[in-house]
Amino acid sequence: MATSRSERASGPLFKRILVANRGEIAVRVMRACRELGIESVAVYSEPDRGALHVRQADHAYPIGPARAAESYLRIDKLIAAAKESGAEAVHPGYGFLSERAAFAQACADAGLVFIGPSARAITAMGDKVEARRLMRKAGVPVVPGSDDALGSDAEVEKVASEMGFPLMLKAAGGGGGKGMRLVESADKLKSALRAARSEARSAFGDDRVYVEKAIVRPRHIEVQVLGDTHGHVVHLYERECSIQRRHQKVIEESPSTAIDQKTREEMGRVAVAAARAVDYVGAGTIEFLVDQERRFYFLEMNTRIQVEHPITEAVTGVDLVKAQIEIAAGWALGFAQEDIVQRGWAIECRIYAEDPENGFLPAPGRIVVLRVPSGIGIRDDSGVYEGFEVSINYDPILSKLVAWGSNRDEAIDRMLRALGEYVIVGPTANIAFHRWALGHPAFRAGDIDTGFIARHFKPGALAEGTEADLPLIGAALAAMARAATVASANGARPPVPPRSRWRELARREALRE
Amino acid sequence: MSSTRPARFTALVGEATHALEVEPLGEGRYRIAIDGRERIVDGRETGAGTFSLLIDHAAAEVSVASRGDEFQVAVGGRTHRLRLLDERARRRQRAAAVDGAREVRAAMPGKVVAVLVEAGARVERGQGLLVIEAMKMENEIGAPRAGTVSEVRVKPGQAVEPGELLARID
Repeated sequence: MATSRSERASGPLFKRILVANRGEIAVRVMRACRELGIESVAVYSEPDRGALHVRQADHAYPIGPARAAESYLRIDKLIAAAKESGAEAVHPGYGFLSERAAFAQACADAGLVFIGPSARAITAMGDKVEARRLMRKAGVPVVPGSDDALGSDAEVEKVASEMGFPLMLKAAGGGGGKGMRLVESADKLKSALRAARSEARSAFGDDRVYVEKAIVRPRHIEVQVLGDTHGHVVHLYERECSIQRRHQKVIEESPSTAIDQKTREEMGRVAVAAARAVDYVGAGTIEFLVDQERRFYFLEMNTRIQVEHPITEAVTGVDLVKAQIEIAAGWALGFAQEDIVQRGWAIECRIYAEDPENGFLPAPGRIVVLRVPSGIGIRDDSGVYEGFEVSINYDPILSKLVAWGSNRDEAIDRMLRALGEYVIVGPTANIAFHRWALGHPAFRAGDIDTGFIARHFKPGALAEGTEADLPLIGAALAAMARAATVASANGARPPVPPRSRWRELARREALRE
Repeated sequence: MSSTRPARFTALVGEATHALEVEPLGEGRYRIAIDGRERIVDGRETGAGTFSLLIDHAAAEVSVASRGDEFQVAVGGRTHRLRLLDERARRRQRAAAVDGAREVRAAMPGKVVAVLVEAGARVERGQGLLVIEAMKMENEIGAPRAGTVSEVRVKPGQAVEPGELLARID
């Protein structure tokens, strides 16, 4: 059985933590802090003065203008704010500086505890070619491909002809889908290589690429791990993140329908071995590609908390952010591998300010109406509120909606119900898209892979099922209400006589009340 | 019951146009005719911009935001954008329609990262005019018609608001 808190406390937790992030993940971390009796320190850029994470925090420090490069990415300003606030530790969240070894090192140099792995582990996993080499040495299966980053085109062509097509070109300097190209056949190699190199150069300042065998219709399945400073490493089973657009996840679930119990245990064992290979401390995620024959291959390790961590929390009952903080304070994990069980099914829908009917392009703006679902089995981790201006400067994520059910069907039905309750007016949000995806027969059947959206989502798919008159009726009633408000504010004698009949009519309506 | 004449609007939804007639019947009830099809709607504003609707006892909820004659209506998780013109606005709009396609306006707030054409340049329909960055994504704005660029109103680095005039093509 799991050990109690008092038994494993090897010292006090922190008194104060600086959260070097914004939006929903900053709010999430501050909630964990409050539950642990730790004060939180927010940092904010100029337009974020009124942001939710600043309202949630116990203390807050300005760190510069809107541009992330001049605020949330400025290591010097963050360290200065941490020192001035008296924080003892820094939580990086995800994105921004969370996977920059230099930030972890700067914290250590300033006598601050970085809530995450060592700078050395971040560096090892950040170099994609180096990570592949390390993993292979640790007995972790990697996608067949070149061992080294390839500088010259001739080398790429040689490796490609030996390996055969289709294949993937990937940037050696970083991930996230940048500098990545699928090459179907030999005649397409030259132009794909040119494009991949140019993208890699502008994204990472490094145009070296490596070659991997292309996995046909892959599923993206990752394993959550936790390691402490006492040598314990456990996994918390898998999350499937195959529903992606532009190589970015939008819907995740745990467990995965793709793997059986034997594969699940094997992936967990391999993930722990991968983490051990870099002496991993904290929360991390080993990402795998799984092919149609359930063979799995190491993709990369994310050395931070993931966006989709709540679904693991929902099925295992472990608070991952609290675990991160306790581990950083030197506590031992409060449970062993056999204590961790998956219970039920959880799904996460990322609620983005983006327009699925317009190429999933960002659609920022002020949130005029916000109604958030609740009820049994629903969790909404939000970074916004009604009246908040969703800025063009940052990631368009608004919140993460998580549904838990005793089985997959119940989780899907519950999520559909919650999405139906979710109202966001102002920025265009992707709620209708999620309803479409979860309502798709292929999703219900678990027949998904990373090509799901490209294969099934067609323009106009969201138009089905809405009663065509309702938007018109809504707009008409709003226009009447607005006219009535204008008329009553102007009193019985409007200064400029509004000659349009509807306005006059509305005024009379208002006066009668 | 009042005997006032109903309010009339022209609704523009994408390419489609609908004739709308709204007559308040009192007690939150309205007779609404859409292209002549009549429905009796019981509508209550339950929060700023949110309306609970009962139509033949069928319940629905819509949330609305508006700016000028532009309306955003959320129904079932989907945001519908439409314009609602009263009769005067409709006349103005007709007169302006000829010019509409000549103006290139920003669809969302963002920052101009590149201007691809200069005043005087001949452009084809769909040809890229400028690139606007919003939320770390770059979007190319294409010419709405073929013609000559008569002016470019923005410079790289400049922030733009939705609806702001970016360029004109004559």
